[in-house]
This record gives sequence, structure tokens and C-alpha cells, in this order.
Amino acid sequence: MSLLTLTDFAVTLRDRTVLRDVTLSIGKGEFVGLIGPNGAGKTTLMRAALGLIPGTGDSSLLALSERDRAKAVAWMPQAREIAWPVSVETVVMLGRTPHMVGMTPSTEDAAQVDAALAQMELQEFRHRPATQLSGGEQARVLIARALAQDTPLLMADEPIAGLDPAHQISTMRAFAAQAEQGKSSLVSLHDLGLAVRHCTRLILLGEGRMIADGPPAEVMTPERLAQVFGITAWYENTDQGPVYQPLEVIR
Amino acid sequence: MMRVMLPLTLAILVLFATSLFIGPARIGLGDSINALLEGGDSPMALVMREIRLPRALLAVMIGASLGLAGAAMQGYLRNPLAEPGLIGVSGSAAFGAVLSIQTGLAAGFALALPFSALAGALGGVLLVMLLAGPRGTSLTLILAGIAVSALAAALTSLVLNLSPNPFAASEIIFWMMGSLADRSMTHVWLALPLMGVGWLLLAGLGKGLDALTLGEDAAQAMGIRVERLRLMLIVGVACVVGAGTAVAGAIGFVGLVVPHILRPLVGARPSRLLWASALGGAVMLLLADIAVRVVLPERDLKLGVLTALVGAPLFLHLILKLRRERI
Amino acid sequence: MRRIWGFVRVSDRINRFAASVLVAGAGFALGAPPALAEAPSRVVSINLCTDQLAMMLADEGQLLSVSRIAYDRFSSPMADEAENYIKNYGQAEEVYMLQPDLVLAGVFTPAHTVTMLENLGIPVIQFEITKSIGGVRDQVARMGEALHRQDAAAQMIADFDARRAALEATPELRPSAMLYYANGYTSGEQTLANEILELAGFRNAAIEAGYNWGMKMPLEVLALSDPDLVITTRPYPGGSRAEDVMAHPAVEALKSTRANTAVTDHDWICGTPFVLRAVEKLAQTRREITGEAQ
Repeated sequence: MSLLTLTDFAVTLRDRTVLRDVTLSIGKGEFVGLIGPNGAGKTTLMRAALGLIPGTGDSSLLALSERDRAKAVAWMPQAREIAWPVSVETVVMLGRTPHMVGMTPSTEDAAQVDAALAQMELQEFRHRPATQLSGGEQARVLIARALAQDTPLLMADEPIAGLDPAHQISTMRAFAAQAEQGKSSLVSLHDLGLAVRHCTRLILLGEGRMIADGPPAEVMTPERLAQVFGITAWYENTDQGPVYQPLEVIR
Repeated sequence: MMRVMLPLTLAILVLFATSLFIGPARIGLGDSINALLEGGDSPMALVMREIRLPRALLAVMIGASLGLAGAAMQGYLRNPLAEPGLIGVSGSAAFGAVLSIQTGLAAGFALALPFSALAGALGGVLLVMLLAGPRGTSLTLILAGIAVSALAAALTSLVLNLSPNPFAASEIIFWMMGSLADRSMTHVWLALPLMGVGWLLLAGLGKGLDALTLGEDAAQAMGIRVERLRLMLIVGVACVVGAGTAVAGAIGFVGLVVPHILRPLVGARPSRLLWASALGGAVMLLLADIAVRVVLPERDLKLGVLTALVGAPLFLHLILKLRRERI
Repeated sequence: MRRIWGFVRVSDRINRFAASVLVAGAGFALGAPPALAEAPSRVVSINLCTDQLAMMLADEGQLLSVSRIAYDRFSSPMADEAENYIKNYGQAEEVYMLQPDLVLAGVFTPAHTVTMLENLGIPVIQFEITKSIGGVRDQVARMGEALHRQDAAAQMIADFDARRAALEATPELRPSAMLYYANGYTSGEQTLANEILELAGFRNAAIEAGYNWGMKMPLEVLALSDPDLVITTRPYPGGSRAEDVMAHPAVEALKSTRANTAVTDHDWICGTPFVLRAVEKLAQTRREITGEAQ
């Protein structure tokens, strides 16, 4: 069963075709990394698929009503905005917005929030104003919000940017754990090393289109790196898992 | 939530009663209650029913409206400096009202006055939104607000100056500073319909404003129709501020001060702040109106003077706090 | 050469007027009108009340111009008369262009206008607000002095005294009345309006409530005093919130429960013999209230 299907999807912004001919399908249990150089259109693709900006072609999400869409996919934008000093619990509870009827949370809502807080190890911060936490902790709060939304698909725009290594790894693990439970994530990343280590599948964007789609080993060939990113890298399958490190810029 | 609502509601009841019993005419407590309840045309009943009651009612209605509108605007713009007075909505409403009075439109049919104020308020809000953008930074918002306020005040002055009526020129003070003196039940009925519409529109924004805490993108992805929310906000604020300004002039700072004070008490949640600010606004305006009659009774102090005396220092404090944070 | 000669003539004239202005200044300080050598022949009035008195007392062709308010039927009892004169808006520049030899103004004419005219060498006589019916005689006399029309003034005063004597009666019943104007102002002791009211046979309930001069009276005090007659003014054209208070339901209730209403009109505004007409109208209302009317 497909959680997101894009067919011949294209996005034009300000008379410039940012993306064209994008066709992909994400099923259950996948952890998909969306990679590509700056300006490749990663954010644009995700926002257009969600219907936040207009795109041409078919997106399975756009066929749903806004309410159903909110129950089908959780979206974490790149701008980590928490406008008011509300408690961490309140922020995570906001993820239940599409499910809540009226303003009072149900027991189901409370349970989801508890689970999300536990998963992101935020219990001790539960009642603290979210704006008083560090950048990394706030990022985890926002991920917990997306988890609490309890959707089959989670889309995130650079969720680990600016986090320390430990939190980067544990966040990637959290997404991978979602995949093991049958839920899927589509996450845009710049850190190719982490993408290779944790994602089950990579989608590479560049030159205004989708260049590759498949397991990390297939996608990350040296030719592609040179062509799309303009770099060389070291790639090896060690006994601790795949290791990937960008090395030099080719110019 | 209850620990905020209950004391505020009690405060409103107490202050409402106090407002009924304060005035230049010396009427004993027992006599005033009797006069109010039994009605009739005796002088005391006239004073209670036609002079004091509308004044107290309007203080509650307008105070609640301003508090609600302020909390709604701050919630949408995610900016603690936003309020209808500061961004020129009250001034624009006053312009609409003055224009309708001076062109004789207001004399044409009764509701022309509040509707003209509504039109002015809508124009003002739209202009500010246009200038600052829906996600305006503090700076652009303040600048847009200054521009619209100044324009509205200048146009109002112009219209009053050109009036054939010799009293009109000095009325600018009333329109810019607000007053509840000598209001009648007519004004209550005039303001109520539009205010009711505005209250309904604004009260329904709670869920959306909460979701906007995460930004417009995230809120929209959670199923909140942000465009529709903005429309309801604009129309709601214009209705509520338009009606209030039409009968009492522009009263500033209530929508700024009240949400600011109550925000920590409701855990900063925009939806809760809507209700709390409505109650808090009523309390603040009742207090101001009582103070105006107690502090300098012979001098006809304007309400806006008192709210500005409280509000301006607070506004400065807010700006300084924001500057420190933004550096 | 001719032009220089022209300037010399003008500066002569200015010197002469400077001297008379100094004299005028001294005279004004002493409260007496300036002693102009001849009767003024080009008089301009820039104040409503001086307009009326000047129109009544001036000789043929002596008065040139009256203020625009004199043309307003609402405020001026002599609006028709005013058509015979040039309309001025009280600005120093336009007044100067009329080349007057005397300007009549009030004490509340803006000081800078008066100063400007005096600096331009034009004598200005300012008239006080009339505070009593007796004061009307003084105003008439003063205007007579200023225009060198003392005989006409004396005649007018004599007529005035006669009419006033006819009105002075001590009625048995003195009903209470209250004046209520825009912005909630009332007239208490030592005002012309109060004297009109009292001469017409009323007692002023505002004075009994402690109001002197022109003071703001709270609506509640009006309502509780419950006077027999509430006297308001007729609102000007063009709306104003200040005048709304006279239409407040409380005031309306007081007026509707009484058979009689009264409204002040242009006769009340200035200290001229027209005030007696106002007294006569109000006295008639009083007789209707007390039942003495035939």
C-alpha cells in the first residue's frame, strides 16, 4: 500500500521549472533519505507534494481532504519555529490537532503524547517552556510533535541540521525505528554519511529532476557524486555498517 | 485555566457593580439598587438606567472586545507587539465613524455609524497587513502601524476641520483618546450586533492559533486553513474594533497590555489567552472608567489617557526586551 | 520720484497712526476707547457681537465689513442686515487690504491677529464678554464712543431701559430651569444667559447645585435636579458628538415629561438689546408653565 505516490510531478516557481518528471512511490516501512545539492529542490518537492505550494502532475496526498491529509502525513518544516513559551508537553500535544475534536485532549491523545515524549527522551522536560531548551532539545521536541501526530508517513526537512553527533544519530535511529514499525519517513538530508548508514532508500535530486532512486549502495556511485555534487568520497562497507565520507571538491 | 477565569469573572462582577454606584450624583447604595430594579421615570431611575448602566455595559463590552482582538492579533502574527490600537485599526475605525457623521450618513439610518467604522477598520487592517506582510517582523509591523495611525489621524483631523460645526474641530480628542462619558443605551444597542459577529468570528480561532505556534507551514500541514483563519481574523477584529470605536472613540493599549500580563498565567497558549484576554480586557476598562470618575471627576479625563499611562511604559519594556533577544 | 513721494505719504500716515495707536493702547489700558481725532470712516468688525452693535449704531457708510458669522442665520439676529456689508474671515491680511481706520474685535479674538493688525498701524478696540443685562448698556455706550455715535447710543440705551422696566416683574411663582449646552456645559452665576433666565422669572437650578460661570455639569446632576424647564441649544448643521449629549435619552426624558421646552437662539449669544427679545420669549414660556398665560 503506497503512502505517497508522485506521478510526472513538476514544480514551477517564479517562471522557473525547479523540478520536472518526478515519479516515485513510497510504501510502508521505508526510511527514505532525500538528498541533493543546495537548490536541487528538496524542500520544494516536499512542500509541493503536501500541497503547500502548487505543482503539476499527480500527488496522492492532494487527492485527500486537508483533514485526511493531516492524518496521513506529518510535516516538519526546516524553520524550527516555536512562537510562544509553551510547555514541551503542549508543543507535542499540538501534533494531535488533526485528531482532536474540540479543545480537550482524549485519553488516546494523552497516550500518544506520552509515547512520543518517551521515544525522544524528553520526559524530564515535560513541563518546561519549550523556548528555554537548547537548539538540539527543541529539535527533538518538534520531532516528538510529529511522532505524536501518529501518521503512517512522516516528512521532514533537514531535521538533524545543527544537532550534535549523538542527537543526530539517535534521531536517525528514531526514524529507522518508525520504519521497523511499518511507518515510513521521507527526510531531506545534507549529511551523506548518516543518510547512507540509516536510510533504507535514497532519492537523489539534481539538475532539476530525479537522478536516482534506490538502496544507498546503488545510488551513491562515484560518477553520480562527481556529476551531481562535484565531490569525491570514500565509501566502504565495514563490519560496523557502511561508512561514507566526502573527501575533495572536484572543479 | 479555571484559576484564571474564575478570579477574572469575579473581578468583572465586582467592578461592574462598583461602576454602577460611582458617579457625580450622590445616590446611596440601597437607593441605587431600588432605582435600577423598579424602573419608572423617577430621576434616580433615569440616572441608573440611562446613564450609569450603559456606561458600565459598554466598559465590559468594549474591554472584552479589545482584549480578545489583541490576543487574536498577537496569536496570528506571532508578535507580542500587535494590537488593534498600535497598528492603526482603531484610528482607521475612528476615521470611518467621523466621516459618516460629518457627511450625514450616520443620521440616515442608525447602523450606518458602526458600519462606517467597520469599513474604516477593515481598510486599516488590510493596509497594515499589506505593508507588513502576514509574517511581518516587529520592525515592519511597528512602521506599518505608525504609518496607518498617522494617516488615519490626519484624515480625521482634516474632516473635522472642514466641518461646518464649530464643535467638530475639538472632537479629535474624543476620537483619538476615547471616552465613555454620557453614553446611552442607544449606543449599547448600536454596538452589540457587530460586536457579536466579531466575537463569534474571533472565538473560533483558538485551535488555529494554537497550531500557528509551530509556524504557518506546519499549521497548514496539520489541516488548519491559514488563509481562512486570516480572513476571519481580519473581519472579526474589524467588526469588534469598529463597533467599539464608533461609540467610544479609539482606546489604545488594552489589547497590548492584557494579553501580555495574562500570557504567563495561561501557559502562553493562544487559545486560552483569547478567553482570558476578553475577561481581562473587561476588567481593565472597567477599572480605567472607574478611575476616570474617581481621580479627577471635574476634569473629564479621557479613557485613552489612563490606558496609555499604563500601556506606554509596558510597550517600551516589550520593545527593549525584544531588542535584547533579537541581537 | 513719484513713487518715492508715494512712500513718503504712506510713512506719514503710518507715523500718524502709530501715535494714535500709542494713545489707543494707553486708552485701552485705562478701559476707555481711544480718542481718535475724527470719527472713523472705514470700520471693520471681526467679532460676532461687535458686528451686531456696529450694524445697529454705525452711520451711513461708516461700517465696511462684518465677520462671516454675522451672515449665519443660526448665530446672528441680524443676518439679513449683514448682506449689506463686505464679508471678512477675521484674518489680519484680508482686514488690512480693506484699509480700515478702526477694527472692532472681542477679547477672545486670537491675540496674534490683534497684534498683527496693531503692528500694521490699525487701531483695534476689543470688547469684553457681556456678563449681565446691565452690561448691555455699557457695551452699547462703548460702541457709541468708538464710532463717535454717542447720541444714537444714548437713544438706544433709553429704549433698552424702558423695555427692561416693562419686563421687570416679580412673579409669585418662580419655576426652576437649567441650561444644558453642548459638551454638557451650563451657565451659572455671572453669565448673561443666567440673567436672561432670571429676568424671565425663573430660578437657575444650576446655581442651586453650585455652578458658577460656564461650567461642565454632569448629566446625572441635571437628571437628579429635575428642573421644571430644560433649556438646550439647537444643534448646528454637520454632526458633532459634543451636541449629542443634548439628545441623550435622559435629557429627552426630562424634556418629554414637561409640556414646555425652550431652546436658546441667536438672541442669547451677544450682549445686545436683542437679549430682551429672548427674555420676552422665555417669560411667555414661564407663564405657560405656571398657568398665568391667557
